[in-house]
Amino acid sequence: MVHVRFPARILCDDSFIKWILCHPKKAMIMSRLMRIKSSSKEQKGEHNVILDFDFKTVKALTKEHYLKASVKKVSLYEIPTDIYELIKNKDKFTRRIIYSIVALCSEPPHVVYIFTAPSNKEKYIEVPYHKEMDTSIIIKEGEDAIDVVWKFNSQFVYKRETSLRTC
Amino acid sequence: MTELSPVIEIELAEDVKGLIKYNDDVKIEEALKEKIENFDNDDLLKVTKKIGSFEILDVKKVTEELLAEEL
Repeated sequence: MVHVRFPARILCDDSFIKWILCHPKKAMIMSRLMRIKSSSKEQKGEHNVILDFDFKTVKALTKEHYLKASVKKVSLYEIPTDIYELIKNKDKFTRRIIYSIVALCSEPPHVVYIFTAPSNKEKYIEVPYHKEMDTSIIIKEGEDAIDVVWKFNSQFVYKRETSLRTC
Repeated sequence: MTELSPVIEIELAEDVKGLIKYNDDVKIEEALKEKIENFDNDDLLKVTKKIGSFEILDVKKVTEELLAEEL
């Protein structure tokens, strides 16, 4: 069984999922996301996540078992109550960034890519907290996010090939 | 009485093999068990189970071709 230390966790927003479900390479992208999620050494089964309010808006768009295999549904309730109370009525971009900072950056690999649809990056960059954390929270939109998926998948393929050679 | 739809989950072959090996409650036909044993541990499998039980009804390897048909 191949386990890979990926350099960053992945948080997908609903616009990203909607965008890839219309992408000509959607089967390949979903397959790679499933692979990353299942082979993560540090966060097996939880490497790629989606917040519950985003999951709700996309779950009817495709077969739920494939969606759950690509991204794990997580909740803002996982963060400390005092922080939750501060952000619960904020916009979705702020909530995603705060969740990434509090729940994801605190665990290895301590860096998070937020995947979003093309042209959405600016909305995240406008969030005040993002400026404080711009080396730990990296926004990737559209094809830039897909490039990350391909890179992570290459890591898996390389690891698998080298492990087969040593057998 | 209408039968409930089966449950479908995507799981690593390694985990499915472990479930069959260590859980005596799992019900599975011998031919299907052998099919699972022949998958690589890293393969992702589409596992169809009877709802509310440990009975495995069907297993397919998740491939891009399968995803292209089903997404």
